[in-house]
Amino acid sequence: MKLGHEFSKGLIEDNPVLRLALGLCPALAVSSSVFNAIGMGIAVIFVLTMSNLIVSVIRKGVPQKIRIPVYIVIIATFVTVVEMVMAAFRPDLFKALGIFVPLIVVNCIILGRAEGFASKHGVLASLLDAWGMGIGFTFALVLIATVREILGNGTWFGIPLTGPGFEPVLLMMLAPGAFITMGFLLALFNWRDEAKAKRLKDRVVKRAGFITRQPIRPEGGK
Amino acid sequence: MSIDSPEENKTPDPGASERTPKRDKPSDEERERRRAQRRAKREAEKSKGDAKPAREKPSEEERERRRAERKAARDAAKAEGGGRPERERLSPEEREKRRAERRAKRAAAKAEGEEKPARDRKKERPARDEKKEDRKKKKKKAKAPAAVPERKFMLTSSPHIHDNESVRRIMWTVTFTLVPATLGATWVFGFRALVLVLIGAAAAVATEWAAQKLFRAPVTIADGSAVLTGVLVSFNLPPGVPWWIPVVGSLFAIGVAKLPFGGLGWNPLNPALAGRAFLLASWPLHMTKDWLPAFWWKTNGRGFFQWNVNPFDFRMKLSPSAEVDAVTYATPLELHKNAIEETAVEGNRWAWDYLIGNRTEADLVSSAGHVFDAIHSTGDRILDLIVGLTGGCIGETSAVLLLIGAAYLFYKGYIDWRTPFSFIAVTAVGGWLFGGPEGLFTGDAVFHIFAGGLILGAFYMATDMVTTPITRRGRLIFGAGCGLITVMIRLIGGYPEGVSYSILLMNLATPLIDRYTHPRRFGHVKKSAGAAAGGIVS
Repeated sequence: MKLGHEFSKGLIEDNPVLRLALGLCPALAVSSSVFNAIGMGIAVIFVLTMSNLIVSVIRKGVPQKIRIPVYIVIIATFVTVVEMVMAAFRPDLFKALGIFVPLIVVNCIILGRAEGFASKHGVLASLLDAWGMGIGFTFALVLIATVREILGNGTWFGIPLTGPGFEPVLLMMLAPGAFITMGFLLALFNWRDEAKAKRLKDRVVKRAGFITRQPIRPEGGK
Repeated sequence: MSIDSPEENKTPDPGASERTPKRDKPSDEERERRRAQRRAKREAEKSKGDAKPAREKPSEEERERRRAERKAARDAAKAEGGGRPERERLSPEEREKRRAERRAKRAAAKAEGEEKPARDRKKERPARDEKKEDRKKKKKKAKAPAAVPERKFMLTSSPHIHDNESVRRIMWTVTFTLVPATLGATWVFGFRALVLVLIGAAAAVATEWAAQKLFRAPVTIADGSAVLTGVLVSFNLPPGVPWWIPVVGSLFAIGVAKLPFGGLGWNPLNPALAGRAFLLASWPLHMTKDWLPAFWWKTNGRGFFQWNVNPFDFRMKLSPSAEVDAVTYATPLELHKNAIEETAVEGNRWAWDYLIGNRTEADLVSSAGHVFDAIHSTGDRILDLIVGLTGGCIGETSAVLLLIGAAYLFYKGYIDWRTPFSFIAVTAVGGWLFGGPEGLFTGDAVFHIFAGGLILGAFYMATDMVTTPITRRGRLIFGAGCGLITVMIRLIGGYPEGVSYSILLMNLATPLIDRYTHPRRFGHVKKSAGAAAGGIVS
């Protein structure tokens, strides 16, 4: 139950991009197409998993004062692996992502999870956390990329969706389009969160005093 | 009556439940959920205060009845002698006497010490401001007739000048002052121009209405600001664009540049110009190539009401060396840009000659070998610019008609002279200094004033109350900054026209300008001088 939450929290509730506002740089830069978004997501999932795993394993042996350099070295190692593999097998994707593959080294999601989670939790929890966060990151990227690709190019994952008369919104493919999409998605998630908090509060109020014939359902799993 | 009304919207209406028998019996969870929702809503409303729920407007008879009631109560109170006594009218001598008394009292008080009046003034100030603001707010949503919240601390000092202005009134007035320019544009660019303006306005209003309904916010489409934004978006479009361009532009202006920031009064950028910037970045071809020449609809086989036009029909070659560059029928500023580039690149004076009127369009046509029905006489090009018989955006071409509207706004005091003055002056001087083909001081200042969107921008967009500085010095700086950026874009930058971007850029600088141009408070001594003086005195 507890471990399941370590996995699921990264998907929506603590989504790194849309709730924690981490890793915005790649989220804005490579989200112009769903293909790029998924490629970036897979690279991050791999690096995050491996770094969380290693950091969690060695967490008791790392001196407190030099832990950040240690984490960086671990992360950089796996980023190098990803970079080489991608350059060898998917050169098109490698070219499209450009500088943002090496920049995964300084991605705040990965360092944040290493510092904030893996260095304090066991191996299994760290792995689940990495997957949840990685998938949540990929989900957010795909979400942004979906909006941008459909509006800015008339396609989704390369599949044309609109007729020949459609004139794509060029702005959505440029940086402002990324920021605008991002802003609206953040607003949407905040809105959803507020509504949820309100419902929760309402339930508490009801439990505290109101007499009701309705069965009260406890909040599931949380 | 008042508390329940918003709730009634929530509950499914009985007719609907009859049509769909399934809906008769919601599941237990469903019912619980709905109940919770309703409760949350009630809670929220309660916490917001009693004045908030929209009161139903009482019917005419109801109001009449209440009025009678109130009157009766007043009369009764008067009869009792308990109510407010009616002030008896004083004779002039009596008034004069009292005035003298008061004056004597004041003099005595002054002799006693300076302290007291000063404190009085301080106390009064915020109260008066508060009241003014309160009045403004009330006017903004002058819907609820009866629910005027009672204020306990109402310090007022007479006399009050009652100002009849409101946001709504100002916005609608500004909109109506654009009517002459709209009609002029319709005459020059055909019925199409009018339709585009109406589409833009309708799309802006529809967007605002839909967004505010969606988020259950008070609907503010009646205040006229959305209409004005929509009209200005369309004014910034080339007359040959397809119908959906103003729709998307207004959608962006209201839905992205205005409402997400909090609606009217909170938007950092001028919504109409943000819409234009969005269109220019998204569909650069439409926004830079869909020009139509003046009176295109008078040419062969076309009519005033013709909607479908192909702007490419009006293409013509500017340069005699046709292979070198072919441009569309362009705005005066595009010709200007072209002239600058040609002069710079190969010393070709040809385009320049055309621009300043040494060559006519007939020359162009014959030399380029292109068929172009030149309608208007190519007499005085500057006069054409001023009257508006040139290519350009729908609303920007006719300086005369725009100035008529602007003059009324000046008369009403809705716009300040400082912004347009410094904007236009800096642009003209800059154009004169650096805009000439033969070095400094040979540019054409008049051309730079009347070409492009400077008049529209300076009088209608750089004077927007929300997005421009509130201080007087700040407005001068704002206008000068706009002029500087405009000249730089026109002469050096990539676009032929820079008015819209210059205003947008200066919009972003507005908070900074306001911060550094705080007016000195009355009686306040400057810091350094004040410190020195204070040191000596105390």
